[in-house]
Amino acid sequence: MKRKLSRRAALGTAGKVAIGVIVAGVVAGVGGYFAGKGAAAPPQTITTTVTAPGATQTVTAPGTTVTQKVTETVTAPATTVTVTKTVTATAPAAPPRPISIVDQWGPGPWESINWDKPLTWTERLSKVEVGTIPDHWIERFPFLETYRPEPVAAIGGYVLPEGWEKAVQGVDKLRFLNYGGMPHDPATAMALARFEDLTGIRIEYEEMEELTLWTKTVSIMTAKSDEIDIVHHSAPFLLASIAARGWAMPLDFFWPEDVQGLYSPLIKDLAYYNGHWWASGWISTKPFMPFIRKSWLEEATGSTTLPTTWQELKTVAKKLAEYLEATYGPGYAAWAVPGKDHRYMWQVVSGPFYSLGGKFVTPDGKKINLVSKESKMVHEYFIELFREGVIPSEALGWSWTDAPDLFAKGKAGIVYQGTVNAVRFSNPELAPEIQDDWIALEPLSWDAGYPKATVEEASANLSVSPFIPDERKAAALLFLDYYRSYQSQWNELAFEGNETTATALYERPDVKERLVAGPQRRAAIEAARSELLPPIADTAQKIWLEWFHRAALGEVSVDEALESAQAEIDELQE
Amino acid sequence: MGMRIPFGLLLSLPGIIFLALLLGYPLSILFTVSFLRYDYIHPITFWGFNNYIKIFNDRVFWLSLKNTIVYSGGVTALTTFVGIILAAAAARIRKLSTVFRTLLILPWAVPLVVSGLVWRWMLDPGVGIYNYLFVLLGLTDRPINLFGDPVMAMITCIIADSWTKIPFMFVLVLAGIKAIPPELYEVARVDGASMIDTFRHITIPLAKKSILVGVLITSMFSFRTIDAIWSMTRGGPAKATYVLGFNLIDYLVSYTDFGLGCAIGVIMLVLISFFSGALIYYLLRG
Repeated sequence: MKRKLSRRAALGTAGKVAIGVIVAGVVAGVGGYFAGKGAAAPPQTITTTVTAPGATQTVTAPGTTVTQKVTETVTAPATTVTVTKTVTATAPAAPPRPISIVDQWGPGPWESINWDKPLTWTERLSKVEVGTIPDHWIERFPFLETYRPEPVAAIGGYVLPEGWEKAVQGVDKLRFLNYGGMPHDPATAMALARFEDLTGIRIEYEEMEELTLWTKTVSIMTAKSDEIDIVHHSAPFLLASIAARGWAMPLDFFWPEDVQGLYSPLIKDLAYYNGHWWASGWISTKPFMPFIRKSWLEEATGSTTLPTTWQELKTVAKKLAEYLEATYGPGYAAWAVPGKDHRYMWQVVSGPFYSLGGKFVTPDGKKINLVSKESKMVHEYFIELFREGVIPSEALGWSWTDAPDLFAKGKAGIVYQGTVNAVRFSNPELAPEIQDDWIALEPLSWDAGYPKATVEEASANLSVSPFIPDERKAAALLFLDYYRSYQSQWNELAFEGNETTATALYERPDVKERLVAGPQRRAAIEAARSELLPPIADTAQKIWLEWFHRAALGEVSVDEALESAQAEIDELQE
Repeated sequence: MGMRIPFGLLLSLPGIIFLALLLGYPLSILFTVSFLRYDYIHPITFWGFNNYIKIFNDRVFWLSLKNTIVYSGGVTALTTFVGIILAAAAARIRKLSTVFRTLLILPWAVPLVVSGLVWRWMLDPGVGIYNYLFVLLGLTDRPINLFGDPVMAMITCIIADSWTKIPFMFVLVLAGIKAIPPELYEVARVDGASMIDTFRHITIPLAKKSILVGVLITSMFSFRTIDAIWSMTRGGPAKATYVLGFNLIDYLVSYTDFGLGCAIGVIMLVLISFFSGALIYYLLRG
């Protein structure tokens, strides 16, 4: 190191080192950008210290935090210098946590968990590693191999918090009930597999149809049974019921501001009730999206212009009805709706309702109001379609699976339902009649001048049962943390075909290349609205559906239907 | 001197204890809770007859009671009618009678929910086989809207439920017919009685007890069941097929009001007991 260099050699070497430093700085900055992407931490200054023979360079560049060690060889004519640059940075301190788990849950094994170690909470949640699905996952869930053309998914990324082992000592399994068959929920299956890899805790599940699952949940919770650890429920309709009845552990400590920042504001519509957080997870976030048959649109209207408002869609639907009757005869529906299911039909009506700026829940969050001006407008909209046969009266007997099923079978021209149907409709095995002949519309506005809006279908929340031993509560909490992680949500979005409130994921190239109708789905999640309905929601919707049916069948007017339904609901709301 | 316990009573004791546990205990809970305010939101308190008053003032209760009577009556009538016809026909079959009887009994093995689902798809206006055939054969010029029409929805639910109960009625009535001495038919034939005459004046009267037992059991089961309706219409459209069982479930699961749910249960128990008691009395008296 004491050998003398000529001025030219020294300048050439210094220049090359400088270039190397700049490259290292760029690499550090770009790497730090992706590592910290999605985190809400403010930009940090990176100080790069480069140590080279006889030279010290310091480069300061903006960016988020990163720690890297880069070794680079710089070769100059007749000179080879190996430069080892150590890039160091300081990880940001976790923001102060105003409320701890002990504040809400009291002392317990969960005290050992440090949510901000070894990485900050947001960092632990926002890492994603994509790769080939491991064989042992496929062994447990064989459908993972064939659900997509390639068995590639988010197989890593999430980091468990420090101290978790002590908190869950003795826990070897958890139980929960799953909406529907697991083969339709590959993201959930992968979450179970990955969680077991991380913790050794096996999550057992029972598959159930939606309404039966709630019945089962009620029976378990009223018995204060420890039969399930993780309460799986449909967010907008049932969270208030669960929270009001004390069937979930509060989770305020689980949702500090920086963690909330990883997700869209929709999470608060889904998990926050009466001043507290109660849930996490979000299996199957699905905003509604209108789908329409391309060729039928052109043949019925003489145009390929897509409707952008609900009024335009109504005009198109009426023309579709005439076209289908004349061309194909009976047995075809211009517009298919899930008229039999009180929850899904409520969501169909809610889409245009939210564009009008309507609210079904009073500002105090305690009562349902069906008799607003906006409510009357949207009900008149749909009842008119029923009475004119644009939506056939048979639709009153269609379930939430029948409506998209009819569209997939080429028997309906329009369906307004979950974005996940885009994956289904693009599958030639599941929808052979409509391949390359359907299009998803972006969220509609009520009419010109109104905002675009759509409704969130029924995000499924996960909550922690209060009736289980403390160690299992801690373990369930870990699973809730895992399920909302970007790793898990990547699988929901890019593998299974649902949407996610982790909207940053939509920007990832590996997500964009996998999304069917990606731009429309992104638009849908951004325009999605939801309301947390009060505890009587389920009953109120059944009352509402009966009167909606009566109006659709022409037995009563829209006004009478809404007023009668409201009167019956008000008796419950006293 | 100690009191002598009748030996028969002693022997019956295990059965009595078993019945008391199986029936008595749940029934006592049912009755007790029906008089409580038990909704998981307010404290549990004695509520007197308030639950019953609320139910009897509820429009939906009377609607569901009406639907239940229609549904149960329809299922019982259809089951009895078809069961008797099939039993009378099967009784006359000599060759391959076992094969026919086995085939006729098969629907009995199908769970009601499955029956509802199967009929739901077969009768669907858009994709169902029946509507397809109706249109193909020219019986109708367009598919029949079965699930969007209140009356047709009730009829289809009755069909789906009856389909699984007809084998039971068939077996009962067939047993009753087989117990009729064949000489009676011979004598009637000699006297010039037609087939319808023998059916009216011999078969039906002498198989009446079997028929009534079948009617009793079918009506009791159909009064409280919701299985087929659940999988077909969920009580719609416009609550046209909303029976008492749905009302009870809604109180328990949607309202989570166990007091109201139990009160509905008590009302259903009283109604079924009244009807079945009357029928049993008639049977015993006969």
